[in-house]
Amino acid sequence: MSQAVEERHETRDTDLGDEELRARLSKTWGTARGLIGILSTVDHKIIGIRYAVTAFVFLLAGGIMAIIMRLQLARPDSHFVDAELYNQLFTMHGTTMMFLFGVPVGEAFAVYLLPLMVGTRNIAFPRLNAFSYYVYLFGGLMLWGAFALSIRPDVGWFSYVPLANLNFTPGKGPDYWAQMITFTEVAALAVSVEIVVTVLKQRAPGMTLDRIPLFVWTMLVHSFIIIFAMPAIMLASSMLIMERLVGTQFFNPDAGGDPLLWQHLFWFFGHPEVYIIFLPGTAFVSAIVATFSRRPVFGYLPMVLSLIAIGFLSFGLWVHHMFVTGLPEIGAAFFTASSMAIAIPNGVQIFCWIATLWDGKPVLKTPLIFVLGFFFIFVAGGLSGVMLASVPIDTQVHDTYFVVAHFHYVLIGGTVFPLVAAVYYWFPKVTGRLMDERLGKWQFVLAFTGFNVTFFPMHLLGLHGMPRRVYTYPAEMGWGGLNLLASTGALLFFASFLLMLYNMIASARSGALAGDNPWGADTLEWATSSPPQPQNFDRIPCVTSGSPLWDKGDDKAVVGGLKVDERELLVTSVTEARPDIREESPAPSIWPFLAAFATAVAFIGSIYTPWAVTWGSPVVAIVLVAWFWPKTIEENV
Amino acid sequence: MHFRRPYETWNFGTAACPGLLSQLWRVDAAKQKNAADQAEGEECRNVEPVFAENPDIAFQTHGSASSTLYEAHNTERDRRVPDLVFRLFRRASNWRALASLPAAAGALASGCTGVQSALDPHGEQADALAVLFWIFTAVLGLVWLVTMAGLFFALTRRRDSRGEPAQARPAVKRQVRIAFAAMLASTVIILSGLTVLSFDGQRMVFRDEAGAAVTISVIGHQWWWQVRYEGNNGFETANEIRIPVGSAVDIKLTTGDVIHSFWIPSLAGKLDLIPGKSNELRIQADKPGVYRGQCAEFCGQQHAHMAIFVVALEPSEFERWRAKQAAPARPMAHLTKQQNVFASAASSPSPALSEHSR
Ligand code: HEM
Ligand SMILES: [Cu+2]
Ligand SMILES: [Cu+2]
Repeated sequence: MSQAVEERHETRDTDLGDEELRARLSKTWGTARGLIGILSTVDHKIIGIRYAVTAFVFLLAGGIMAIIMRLQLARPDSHFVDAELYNQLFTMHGTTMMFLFGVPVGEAFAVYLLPLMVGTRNIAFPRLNAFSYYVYLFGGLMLWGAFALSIRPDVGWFSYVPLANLNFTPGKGPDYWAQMITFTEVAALAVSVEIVVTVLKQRAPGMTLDRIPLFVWTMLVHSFIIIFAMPAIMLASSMLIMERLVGTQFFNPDAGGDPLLWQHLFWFFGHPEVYIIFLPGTAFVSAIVATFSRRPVFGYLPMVLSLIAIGFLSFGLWVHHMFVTGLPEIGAAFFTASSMAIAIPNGVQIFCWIATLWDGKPVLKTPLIFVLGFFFIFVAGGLSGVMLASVPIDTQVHDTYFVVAHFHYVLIGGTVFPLVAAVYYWFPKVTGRLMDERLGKWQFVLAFTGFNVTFFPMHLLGLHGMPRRVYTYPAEMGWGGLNLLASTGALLFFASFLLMLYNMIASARSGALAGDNPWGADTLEWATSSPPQPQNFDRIPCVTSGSPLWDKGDDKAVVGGLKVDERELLVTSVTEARPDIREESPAPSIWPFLAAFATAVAFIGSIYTPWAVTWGSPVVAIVLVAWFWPKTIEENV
Repeated sequence: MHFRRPYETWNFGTAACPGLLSQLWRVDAAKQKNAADQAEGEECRNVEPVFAENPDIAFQTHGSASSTLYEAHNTERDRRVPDLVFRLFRRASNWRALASLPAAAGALASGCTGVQSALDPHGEQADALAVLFWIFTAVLGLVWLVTMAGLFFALTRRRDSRGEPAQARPAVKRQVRIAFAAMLASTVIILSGLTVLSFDGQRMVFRDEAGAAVTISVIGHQWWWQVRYEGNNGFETANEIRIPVGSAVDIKLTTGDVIHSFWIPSLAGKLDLIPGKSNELRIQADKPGVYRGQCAEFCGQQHAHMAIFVVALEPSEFERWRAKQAAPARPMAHLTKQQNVFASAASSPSPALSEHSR
């Protein structure tokens, strides 16, 4: 590898004028056409969009399940669906919403936005990123494909044993469920590693730790939570599938096992999972509140500290899902206290956002309006969570519709409302066109009314004694009226999403042109063109404050010296973001797709025979070898 | 055959429950007292088979009282409420009123609270839990209102700086800081207060005093409840527990298959039945009546139909009933039959009490 060869290719960005630089960079970083090109791409923006679209499809699928459930429950003693189907529906609804929509949709935005926000050209480990998307896609397709073929899990989104054991639930439903978990968690873990490395090592020069946008901080904490929580569920789901497949006895008390082991493992993941789903929501809120108040969020330090506190505390609460299993008193007391404690950092965040709105000059555009809906709903859900944290109160409302109401208030209020806001907010960046404001406001009216009409009555139903997961109820219980109300609301709420879908499609075709920074926001993604070039930034920006686009003065500093004809990134130091080295970023490759495919085949095969693991591993290994085969020589010649 | 399940006839029709349902099922309390003997009115006749062998069960139940209900129950209220809560509210003369007023308001706002309602407590534990629930609701509701008010003012505040451009780092105003600190402090204080209240209420759930009058084993099955009265003359029933009014009853909870959860909202909070584990719950009923409960942990296909009834009898009646049950050894056959009823009558809810208690 001679010096001469290196030099011959070494056109640096400093050597070229703006026009030519842009053209050459976009050629270097572009995605090839054709099927192979599409499947090989490693552009974080393309993969991010795929993630988001897939997650939205799953949201709609889960929503349709919910509507069918609500139609069944609208009247007492109804026979719209039978017990068997109803149980499959709520299992698919919960599983889809949590694993195939809730987690991936956060990843989608992170994958698309983070590299733009920190000012780099691609996410770290871009091939892993492509791999993770395909694994997620195959996991989701597998679960829904099995559903279409009438192989349907029906034991709820947390599959308690022994009900989920072979003797009580024969068939392959829970196996598909458990394997789907493995798929989506592999995907989530991969993305988390990419996020952590991107945030810590690829920030634009000058973006010191205290200048990182809150969005980025939030996703960093989110990724660490995933990294520590997911192993528990992968372990648990593997144990479950082994229990069913090869007759291990982890959960069988007669053989020295314990059914509560499953619950501990599941909820050790399951509670952080709630924060995994909710934190991206807060990330959206931080970005949108700042932009529309024309102020950075009040209290940067308290915000970051509360995020970190939430990250730690979220691992100390899991037992509050098990308050009625007959815990020792002292244990129950501990988990009451820790569950109450997490309300404090959440409260801090809420106060900081409100203080920002107070201090600034709020502009009521659709994104901010949805964020206001978030405040209204999420605060209510958080407060009913404080009730559930109290053991005595929980013994009455646990596993009733009160809990169903509570978690929809936090999940939909905390994630879906900010998510809709985020769609309106970043849509112009992704497509170059603004979404329609008038439709947006109508959508808000529908969604807000629909949501509250659906879920508020569920609190009362729970208190009136209606347990969750019942496919019907006798008329004499007197729950008919409130249920009818809830079902009506559900239709309104669902309609609001159809309206959004229409708005997105119509606006993508003929919306008003957005320009680079339609909202006058302060973070770096708005410094790129809309939609961004494949290389994101023609020249890597230099950051001198926490709100780079609001700095006074027209001259924006940039750093130079990256190669133009090769995929090169700038790697910076962890705390100060000083330029460290230039690092090559992997080129497109078909192998991640093939590796994901091989993994999927092995996983699905293992549902039927444990030998699939044995035969699948070498295949996966071969594909991985091909993926990582060193190509330095070719590339440099 | 058309018969009406017991809970249809009883427990509806309170003064606080003006809806359609209460008109359909409203049965005057006084009439009910004699109903079984006199077979007066269709509803009562339909219920007859259930209690044909116990004509003197008091049919008056918790839901059927008039507005005098609350006054009637304020004796000995203090003993049923966590001390701390009590101290806080000592001056309030009437505990039941405290626990029930918001309940009544809620009921008015939302229709009937029903026969299986945590807001309509009729036992020591459920009373305390309802009080705690309403305290939490009041405090947290207030917190929500204050937060929303803050948000509202933040949005509508008159701006002194119209058209102000975006600012990278504006100086933080002192007012905002003070307000922030105050909010943070009050959050901490409120949460600590609620935690202490909760710990105090927890004693009600975890109390392990000895000496319950009756001990009953409840064994969960997909999808019915096996009830075993322990002792020399033990006997079994299914989906129905009879207990004497006014004395503590210990329920031992185990399961024959998967996890279930035993929950009689009007009497006590729920507790799970877990393989390999035995949990114990203490219940106590204030008043004669029938209290409905339902399995609260998803346990498979017919989870929705796993109901149970607690029938609280005057102590003397209870003893008579128990003696009668204990006398001839009850054949297990009826249990198997019960199981079949469940399996076959999947779509008809709660295969009536009457089926097996005959
Ligand atoms: C159209 C909007 C929605 C409606 C009408 C709806 C309705 C319902 C209903 C009726 C149930 C209870 C089923 C039962 O216990 O019998 C349920 C359960 C659940 N929902 Fe939703 N839901 C909606 C959206 C969501 C979203 C967006 C999420 C998550 C991000 C979500 C997460 C869940 C979960 C985790 C469960 C528990 C499933 C289980 O018990 O295993 N839902 N939903
Ligand atoms: Cu059960
Ligand atoms: Cu059940």
